[in-house]
Amino acid sequence: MNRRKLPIQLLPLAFLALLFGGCERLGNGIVQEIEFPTHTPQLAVTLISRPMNDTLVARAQSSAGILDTTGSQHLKNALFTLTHEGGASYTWGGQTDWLNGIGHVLPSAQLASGLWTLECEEENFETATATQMVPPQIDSVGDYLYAITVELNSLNIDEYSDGDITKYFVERNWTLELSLPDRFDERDFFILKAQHVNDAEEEVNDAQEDEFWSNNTWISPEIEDDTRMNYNGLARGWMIEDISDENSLNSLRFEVNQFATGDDLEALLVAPAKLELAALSPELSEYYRTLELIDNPSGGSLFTEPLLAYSNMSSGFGCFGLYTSCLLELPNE
Amino acid sequence: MHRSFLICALGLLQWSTITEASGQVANEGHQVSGYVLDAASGEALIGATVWCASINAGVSSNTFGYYSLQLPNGKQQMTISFIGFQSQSFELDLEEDLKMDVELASGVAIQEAIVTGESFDRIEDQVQMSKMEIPMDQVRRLPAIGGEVDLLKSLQLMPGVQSGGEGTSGLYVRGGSPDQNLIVLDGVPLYSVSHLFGFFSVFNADAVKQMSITKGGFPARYGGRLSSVLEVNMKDGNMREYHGTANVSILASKFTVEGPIVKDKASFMLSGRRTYLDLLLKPVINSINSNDPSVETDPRYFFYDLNGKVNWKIGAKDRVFLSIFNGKDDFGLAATETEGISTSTFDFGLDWKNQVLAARWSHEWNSKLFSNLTLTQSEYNFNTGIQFDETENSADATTARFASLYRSGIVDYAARMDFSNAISNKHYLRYGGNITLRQFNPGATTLQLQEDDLPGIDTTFGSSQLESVERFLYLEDEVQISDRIKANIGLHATALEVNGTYFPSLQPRAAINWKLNDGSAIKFSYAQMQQFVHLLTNEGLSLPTDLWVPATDEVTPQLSTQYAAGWAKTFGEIEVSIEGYYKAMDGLISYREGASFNNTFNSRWEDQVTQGQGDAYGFEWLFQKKVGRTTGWVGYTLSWANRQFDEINSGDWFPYTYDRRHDASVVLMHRFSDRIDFSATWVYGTGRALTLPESTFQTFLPSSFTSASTDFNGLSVDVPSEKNAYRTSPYHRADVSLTFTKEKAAFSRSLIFSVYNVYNNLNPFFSLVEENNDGSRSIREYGIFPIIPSIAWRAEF
Repeated sequence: MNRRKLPIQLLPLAFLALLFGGCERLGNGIVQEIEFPTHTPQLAVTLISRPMNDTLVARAQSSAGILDTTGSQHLKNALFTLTHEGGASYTWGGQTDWLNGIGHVLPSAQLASGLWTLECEEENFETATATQMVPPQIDSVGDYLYAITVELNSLNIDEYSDGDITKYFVERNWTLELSLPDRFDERDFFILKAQHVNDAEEEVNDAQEDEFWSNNTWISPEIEDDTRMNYNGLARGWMIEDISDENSLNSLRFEVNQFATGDDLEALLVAPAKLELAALSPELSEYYRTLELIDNPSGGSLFTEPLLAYSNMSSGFGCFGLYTSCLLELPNE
Repeated sequence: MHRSFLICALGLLQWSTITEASGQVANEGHQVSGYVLDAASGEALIGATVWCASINAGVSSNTFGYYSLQLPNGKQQMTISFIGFQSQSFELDLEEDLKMDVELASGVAIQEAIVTGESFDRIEDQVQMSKMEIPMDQVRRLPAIGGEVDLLKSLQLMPGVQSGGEGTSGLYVRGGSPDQNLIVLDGVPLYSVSHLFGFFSVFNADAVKQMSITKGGFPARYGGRLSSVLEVNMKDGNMREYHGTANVSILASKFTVEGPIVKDKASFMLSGRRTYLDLLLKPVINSINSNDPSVETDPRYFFYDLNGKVNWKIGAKDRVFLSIFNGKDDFGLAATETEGISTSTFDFGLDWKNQVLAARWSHEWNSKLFSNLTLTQSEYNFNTGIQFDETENSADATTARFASLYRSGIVDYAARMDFSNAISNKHYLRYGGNITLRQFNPGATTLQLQEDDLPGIDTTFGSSQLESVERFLYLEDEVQISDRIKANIGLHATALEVNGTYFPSLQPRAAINWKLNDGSAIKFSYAQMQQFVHLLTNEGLSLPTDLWVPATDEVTPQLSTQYAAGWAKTFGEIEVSIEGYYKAMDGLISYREGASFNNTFNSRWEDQVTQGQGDAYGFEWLFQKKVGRTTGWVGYTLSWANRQFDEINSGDWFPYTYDRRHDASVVLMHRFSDRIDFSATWVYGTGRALTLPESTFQTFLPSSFTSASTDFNGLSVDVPSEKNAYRTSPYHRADVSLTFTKEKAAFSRSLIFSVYNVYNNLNPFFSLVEENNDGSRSIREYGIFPIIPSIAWRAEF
């Protein structure tokens, strides 16, 4: 019987054809575009402020579906009401209080200590409310006080030529020991940041670069992996929190470096290094923490567990947060 | 804690004494015992059936091929059988205890009657449920990606066992995670079983004699993991002749040699495998870089593994086995750039390595009592580093260096003693104990900074080493309660000691087989399990960065309780089983929202995780034909798997990433002739659950805390969906393989053609949010494996 042989010699050719077919299929590699249900816009309210005599700026935005090309929109007709537990209240908003590029502005508001309730109304949205207890005023005196000792470790002056101009580079290094209030029955949250910080990753033009070197200050904690503090890129400073019941924030040690350059040595020698110290409400602190994790995912977007930004609004997104603050000026000599 | 162990030990002894006594009372016959061996190689056959038709009773040979059966005086009809081998039937005239080794010849010729499994070995007769086995001969014939046969991928074709994603070898068993699988190679637990970021497993199919997976109804001898026990046994080595195989595929080459050291006394087996992607790609990359002679690049990726075993029969009653496994993946890129007098070098590396050492001594105390002592070491290490050096070859030579090295790992030292005691044909007792010293290195980073005129930095920081001691005792009795009811009742008592904290646990186990009138059987099982190790892993991919960590006073052990019920029957040559299960889990860990493996590099891992609970339930159908010219199976699973963590998804329950409603597989193997083999598989699975960004909003943060509150920075914030609210596209794929074999006088050679994903369906591997040219955004799924043909060559001598 004549048995037909399988054409094995043709198999490699068939394999090559299959391989090319596969490569073509992999060309764009797209399996499908994922469809989303229609997004129902929600209110996103932001009011972050000091309670002192200051301008209050509130913003209401509509959320947008992730694939919507329009994105999150300003809601210029939104009305805001801020009511104190004692009965005093402020109301502002609508087109009249809208200031382009800023938001809904209420000038010269003074928020008394105690509990405040924010209400945001906008047509077609559920009214959003949130409450905030005014944090105590952080200061070097008073009930909620910090203590600071600063030691200037080094002052280096270098001279260099920039064309015909003689320029100076001044570098100072301080050791700073800071004790912050830590109440027994309350959580305490702070931010410590340099007043002038330029992000090295920021796109800078020449003028900005000059400014960067003209006076720049960095803060770094002396203890690595100190569980009481984390760097927050959005606040551009160190977020500090109490981790036990009492006195957990005593003697926090930092190293501060200031770099200043210019042709006026005398001016450089008196150029101050200023630090901002803010006491945050727990809600505002949590808002900063979660936004930082979302904005700067530790393992990249593919490998970081998704996170919903904290919100203290009754519906939708955003935050009503209050803080108090003070300025720390480091000695030049 | 020590007291509870003592009580358990005393209880165990008492039980043993009582059952021994009852066995003696019942003993009115003689014991027949010995080994069941492969006639060609002298290797022990695991799970062979020794059946006595006269009394309608039988046993299976154990991991060492040993069996022991009590028979009445007089003439008895015996049958010894094993799948793929020719059975032996003979008559015994028993007058005294008999030691009898039986050798079975391989049933390689299709025309011959290959054993279909005698009654004792049929699925409906086994007390053990939820256990599956694929004969290695069938595993080697399955289609394989790149021609590289993979044990774990073949297991993924069984119901209740799922793959993690396209091409990956991770096992997700009954809604459990990969760390919940106890994977043991010759009795030694392995911590990482993946090569090439999970695309291949560390098991070299040519070195493996037998494997089985148990998904539930765990006997008391097993412990330490929640979801499955995968036992892999290496070949012992041929006691009589030298044999070998060589394989060349497009990805790797491998060899196996085995043979006698002293004929019928001692043997060895040695097997190795290495990939050569690096060697193939190097010339291509060099030619790409050839237009810039100042830069030299040296990319590398390879993996290898080496299996070795020595098997020595010391006497009639003693055997010693020494096993070694060593496997490593090495991935990296080095570059050197020369510019004038300056030379800078850059080196990035990522490697992970497994090593297993085992020494086993099995001893036959008498015809009823068999023991095995195992001493083991299992080690897994992961290293990644980056180094940058800059050197100036001038009179005032300067050198700068930055180097960072991250290391993590785990090492086990264990001693285990197991006893098998065939008290009578109605009681088969197993008992034993284990102690494991485990050292965890959850991650340390070494940093080196050096600049000529500045003081250098050389420091190490990160999590410190942790040690734990895990002990367990177990006792189980396989008991024939009546003619129709058999059971396996047991207790697993275990405790972990870590950092001065004790975690004791008593885990009852029970399995019952109730034979029905029509020959089928209903089975029930109940098992409590506890797991003292956790794997910090990203749910999407199996990465070498996955970190093994112990239960501590902050992170408690994992617990599970599993109930299963099933029905089984053999119709001719086809085994049919249907099982339903419910598994409740507690103490599961997951990264907190916003955390990733990267956080564990530089902060306490305990702070990055949160604990919660889970459940899994479903039904599994399996129709399997293990013998004959055409073999294969059809499997289908309908299942649900959910998780709940107080700190994830607002505390609400959510579907587990690998919650897969439907999972189906069809496997077909056909031997056309001695020369031509064909195999094909088709798989279908519901899409993987995933979390996607669903909406976005704009918020504003003050740029300064001390100046006027009108200066803000805007920020767009993406809002994720509820956890795992979306699904990828369903997964489906078909593979085929055709093998042509030619027998020569001295050896046979085979050419294996296989096609992965034969109908070229691109399956989802990952998804990305992308911005389109018009500014709009899309979320797209991407696939990575289209149709992939491959050729492999194999020689056997």
